Amino acid sequence: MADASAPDRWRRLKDLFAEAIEAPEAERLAMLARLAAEEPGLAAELEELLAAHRADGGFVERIVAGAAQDVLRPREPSSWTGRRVGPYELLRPIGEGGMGAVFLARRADAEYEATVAVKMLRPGLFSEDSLRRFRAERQALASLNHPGIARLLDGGTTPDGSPYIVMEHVDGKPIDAYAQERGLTLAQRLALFRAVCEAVQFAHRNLIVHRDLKPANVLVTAEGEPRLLDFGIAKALDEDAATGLTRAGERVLTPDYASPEQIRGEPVTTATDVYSLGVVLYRLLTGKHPYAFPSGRTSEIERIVCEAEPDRPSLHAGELRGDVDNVVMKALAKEPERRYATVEQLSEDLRRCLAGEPVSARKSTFGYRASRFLRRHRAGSIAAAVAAAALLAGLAVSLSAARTARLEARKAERVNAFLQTILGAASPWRDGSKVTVKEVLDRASRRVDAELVDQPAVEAAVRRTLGETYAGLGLYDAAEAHLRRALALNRSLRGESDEVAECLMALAALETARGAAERAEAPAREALAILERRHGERDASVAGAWRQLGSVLQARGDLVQAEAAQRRAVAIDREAAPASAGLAEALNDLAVTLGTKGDLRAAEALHREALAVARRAHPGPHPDVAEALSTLASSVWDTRRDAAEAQSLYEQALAMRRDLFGDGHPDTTWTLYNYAYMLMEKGDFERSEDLARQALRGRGTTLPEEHPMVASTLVLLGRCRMGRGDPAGAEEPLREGLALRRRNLPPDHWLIASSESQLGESLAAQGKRAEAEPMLVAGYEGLKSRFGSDSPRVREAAERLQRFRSGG
Amino acid sequence: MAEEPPAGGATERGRSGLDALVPEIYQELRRLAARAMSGERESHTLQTTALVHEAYLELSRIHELSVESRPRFLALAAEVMRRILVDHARARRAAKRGGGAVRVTLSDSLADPEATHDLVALDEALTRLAEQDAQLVRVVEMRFLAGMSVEETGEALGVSPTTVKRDSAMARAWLLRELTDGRRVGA
Repeated sequence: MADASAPDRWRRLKDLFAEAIEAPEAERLAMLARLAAEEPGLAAELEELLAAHRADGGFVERIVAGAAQDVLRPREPSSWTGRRVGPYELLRPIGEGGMGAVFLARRADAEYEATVAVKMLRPGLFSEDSLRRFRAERQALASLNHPGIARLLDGGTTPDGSPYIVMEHVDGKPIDAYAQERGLTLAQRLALFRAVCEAVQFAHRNLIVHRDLKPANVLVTAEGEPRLLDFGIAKALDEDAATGLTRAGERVLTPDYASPEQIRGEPVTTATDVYSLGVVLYRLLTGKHPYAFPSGRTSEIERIVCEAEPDRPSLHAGELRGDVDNVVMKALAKEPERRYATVEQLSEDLRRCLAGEPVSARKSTFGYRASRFLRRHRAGSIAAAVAAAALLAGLAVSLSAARTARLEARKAERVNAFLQTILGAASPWRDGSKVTVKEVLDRASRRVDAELVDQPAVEAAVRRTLGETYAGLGLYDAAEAHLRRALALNRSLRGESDEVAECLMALAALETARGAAERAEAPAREALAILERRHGERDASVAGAWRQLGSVLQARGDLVQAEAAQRRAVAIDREAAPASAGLAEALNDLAVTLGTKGDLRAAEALHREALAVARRAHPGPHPDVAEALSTLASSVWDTRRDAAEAQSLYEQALAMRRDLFGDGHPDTTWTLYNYAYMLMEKGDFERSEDLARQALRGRGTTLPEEHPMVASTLVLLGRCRMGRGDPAGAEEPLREGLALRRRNLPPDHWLIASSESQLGESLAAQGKRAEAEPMLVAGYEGLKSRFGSDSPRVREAAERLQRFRSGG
Repeated sequence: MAEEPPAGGATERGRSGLDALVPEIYQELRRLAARAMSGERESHTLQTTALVHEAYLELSRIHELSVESRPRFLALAAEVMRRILVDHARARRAAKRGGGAVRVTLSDSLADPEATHDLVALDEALTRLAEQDAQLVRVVEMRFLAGMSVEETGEALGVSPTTVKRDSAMARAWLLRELTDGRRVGA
């Protein structure tokens, strides 16, 4: 019979088949017989299909299930042990990962003795195409020759179709476990991690991205050297990029460490490794994963990795607060472009964390820059540190003042921004050249003139900061100009205000510091009056003004009034701010005054209280604590001659100040001076002279040539030499000290008298009796008129004079 | 509320809307397969149908697929599942040849399940069947790879359940005959 067209024939076949399978046996046979007569070909085919239909024992299901089993069934690692894979004999399983099981193996042909690691990839995980690509890339991966990267040696497919990879065997522990076991410190962990970065960097330079970085792939040997496994394997085995199926590798392998772009199937770059390194670093530092996946469902993991902000590492480990936190968070940024552009940059930032330098991973807030600037210059440019400290302190005051006065936030921001650009310009790490802080300040001063003319509120705040910074550097003229301008601006802008009071107090402090305390009293009293009117007599700000006034009076030598002012400050702060730095300072000031007056026991008790208050206010290292330690030390020595306790306190204070400010900072210099003074009195002249010389190193840089401290240290130096029996060597520094004091202090200041007495002693010891006598007399008289006859200082001067008169 | 055009049904438009998801379905299935392998899952997920349904649950959530699109999605997933299995089987077969092993041939006995384990052969047969009648192939994929019910399959294809049943039987018979190529069964 003539066949119909193919589609028609197929349709008829289908219809006949459907009819036949539903018909009873007899009917079907009749149907087939009829058809065989008319269309034997069609009948034969129908008969075949019906036979197949009857024979069908669920073969499709079985084929599918069998294939699925083959793809999906995990292979027991133990079943591989002892088997040969290529030329390698598998000795024992040593690991089990997402990609497959890893075995320790050795070359069965004994060509090499060395053992290797053989990773048996899960069959079915990788398509034939990807395996082919892997074989193609094997060469490139094998050439990745770096001590931090486990070498890929070989790869292939077993006769029964299981793909495998042969790698250098690394005997090590996952980096997080290693750090945990060894109890590595934060610095050690960062250093170890930087070594990992270096290996990753090396691969990146060879255009190979790891794409599956996780602790299990970052082993650390017993020698503490990291080795990275599986470099580039995920990529090589990944799907063909052309199909857009780029995310198979990681999503299949390690979703916990996969980056958002990997999860979204977006292009994978070196930034992907930066992200995974961030996760590894997070684990290394905190022992925790950045995210929690409560249910472990795919959709949850994806949502969390792509959207949720991880907890900052410091939440788990407080010591990470600050830079390390920021570095980790930058590496973990959702958008690849917001992460470190290279692993090198990540590593560099970690180096900076370790070195206390500013990191790039941080919003550039002014306070941050300043604090980094300060810490960076700890051991280096002292002047910079001083300036930065002053800038920072000044800014904090400016900004809080701005808040108090309800300055709109925009203004505070502009102040901040302006200062930020100044510090930015000064950053040595930006252009690599050293810029002195004075240059920075001078540049800033010019910019204030040029840029802030029409913003008086901002100009006032900036000038006050600049003024305090210059003052901190001992550049008093420049400081005064800025402070006076700031004062004038604040007066005209705000009239009687906290800002005006603060400028007045800054001026008082400046005049006191430059040794012109007589010019400091008026501004200090005006500030006090303003603050009392504005806040009442019991306010902490008023205590601050009393404190400032007390310092002025003390510097003027008016110890009675100084004590009264300081007692007032203490009384107010005890109520208004019992755990404040202000109270600690007030107690210290009062103690110093009482000590100077000779009431040493009362002084020591106050110093102890000051230290307790400071520690309550700042449990960690802090300038106020260092100050309290330093002053208590001198008090302990003055009162009880307890050299052991005093020395211990001085060492603590010195270490803390060096740590906080660096050498050469005036505060460090003060501690050096006081410590040296104690040692001199104790009779340890050599050590004392050594410390005195250290203190004098800042002269002309951080300490102005004629700073009162310089004179005191010179005098101390002279006394050490006297103590060592070298009156000739003592004469020069004593003379210079006296000259400085005469030039810079009021003529009746007791320090002049004290210097005179000491110079007289050195002259007498050299036999220069004619010159010595008037010095000894003037010194004694001067001290007695200030302190009365009971003070130790006076007694000392009297003894010198007596020895001279008795011919000694 | 403006909504996306319905993705379900057998219209070309509906199909093309979901087609964009094929790469994702592929990834999801591979990932689920890997997870099943790494022992994170109970053994019941070692079945393609379970994987396909799980993939649907995940991706429908991510893409906020409408309920109507489910049959069409599962149909696509079934196609993708077939590709994954075949890729794997081909890799194994190539390896066996490369490794010098004798290729396993179909047994004469149709009753022996081992005889029909050759997924590659099934795939090739399906490809030939598609030239004849693409709908039958899709019925097979949906019913046996995605584990879709007769009703769902009918819905996805826009045909009645009766047609699905008939097509399914026809396809199976035709495929079995193909796989036992040349051997006349029961004749």
